[in-house]
Amino acid sequence: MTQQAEIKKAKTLLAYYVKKTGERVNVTQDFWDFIELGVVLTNKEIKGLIDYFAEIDNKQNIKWFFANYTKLEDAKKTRDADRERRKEILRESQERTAEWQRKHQKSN
Amino acid sequence: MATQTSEIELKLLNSVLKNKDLATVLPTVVDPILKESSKYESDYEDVWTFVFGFYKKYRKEPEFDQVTEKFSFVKQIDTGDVSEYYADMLKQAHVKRRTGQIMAGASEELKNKNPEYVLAMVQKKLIELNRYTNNTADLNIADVDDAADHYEAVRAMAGEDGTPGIPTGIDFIDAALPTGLAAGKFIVLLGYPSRGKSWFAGLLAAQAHRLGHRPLYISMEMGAPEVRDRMYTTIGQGLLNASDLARGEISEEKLRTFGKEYLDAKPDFFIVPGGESAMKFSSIDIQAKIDQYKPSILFIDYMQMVYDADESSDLTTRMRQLSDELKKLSMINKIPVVAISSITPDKAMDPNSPPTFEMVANSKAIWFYADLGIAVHNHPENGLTELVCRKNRAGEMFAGNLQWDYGTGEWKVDYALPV
Repeated sequence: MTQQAEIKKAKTLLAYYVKKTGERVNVTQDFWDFIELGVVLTNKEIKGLIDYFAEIDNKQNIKWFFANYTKLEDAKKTRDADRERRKEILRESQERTAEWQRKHQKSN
Repeated sequence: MATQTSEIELKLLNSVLKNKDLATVLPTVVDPILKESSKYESDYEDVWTFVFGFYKKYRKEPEFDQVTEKFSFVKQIDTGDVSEYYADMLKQAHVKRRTGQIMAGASEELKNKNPEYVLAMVQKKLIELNRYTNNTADLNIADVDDAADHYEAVRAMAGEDGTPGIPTGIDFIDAALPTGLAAGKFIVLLGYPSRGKSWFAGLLAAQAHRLGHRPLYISMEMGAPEVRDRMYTTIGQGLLNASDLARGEISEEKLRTFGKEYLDAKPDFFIVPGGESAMKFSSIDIQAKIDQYKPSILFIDYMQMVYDADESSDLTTRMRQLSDELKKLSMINKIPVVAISSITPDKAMDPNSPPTFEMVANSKAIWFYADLGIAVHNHPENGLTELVCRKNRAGEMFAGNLQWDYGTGEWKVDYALPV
């Protein structure tokens, strides 16, 4: 990717960040960190992190976002895995409860 | 130390060395003798230290000659009984002496100290004494007769639905919890602030009360009248309104109707405003309240505001010891203990999802000691209170929601995944 293409991609990510968080950022400087982030994460992963950061609304700013992106990444993975797990446990609970109710009614 | 007690101790020592049965008296007498905090007075402490050290190293008791080589003052005498007999006699002598000392000390302190302080100190010392005089109930699983007695007792304790403990009344929990909220279980409710933990504890208390049990609710945060408003709303399930009660807007007639329908012929339900105590409220105070009210289920709202017996200033130590003590309280008193625990906020975690045990404030020990852990998480945007099992020693993991109106106390089960 050429440097111009990288800058364009970073500025798009910054615009996405602003749209999601509503934060006032420095448009001439803050996009550089997205170029560095792009070295370790894909565009989709960065957008996912921005979505997560906006969702948890922890009253922090873009500097905190860049400084703590690995923590955010771990927390997002934990949250997403737990959400899938809860979905599964909910389904199991519903089935078990229906069986339990049938058995309970029978015994009565 | 009285000569008679000294003689009993010498007989015990001789008996242990002769019968080679240190293990049988180790937890009840020898271990307390070696622990300074037990206040056991012993003429043979050094000898016991040597015997115990020898036993730990070589897995057998030393010969009498090996003891007298080091401690020439130990006399060899005839002993006709098993070591447990002398251990019981020694323990009784110790309890008698310590009780007398505690009472005499209290009487002296009452002359120039606040009576509440003296009472708290007496309670603390008596519980310490109790800690070192209670025998643990070890279990031989090869004893089938004993097992048969146990299962018969479990069946006798079981209600109509076959649950030995107290059912929660929430079917997806009861289906995964065959024991119900049973005696000796330490149950932890965890959640972020203002996400329905206390409301849920109140719901469990109301359910227990409805079934004829005696709940004791220790509130460290809210005043007793505020907790009563919540309980009335929860028990009434649509009859009363929490905000009306908070403003006192209830007619006497309605209150009487509610009382007649839901509280008449029911056992007592005490609320203790532990947070209003002038002194530090600790597990010792909790035991005193259990002794006073004899509840069949105990609620603590919430753990981080209660002190352990040693009143540790470090929160992590305090929570570790308190978890241990609450588990023991549930076992010794044979009641379920339901404790609320707060969460350590982490800026990277999603506060809109139910917390896990890893996020419990101050100590992971709460996780280890808990028999059952339920994350409680209200989603205000859709009125769902999500209940997610994070640990269940008695059955399967479970999850479900209550579509719950805290204002009126009405609720029903829902299985959607709240986002």
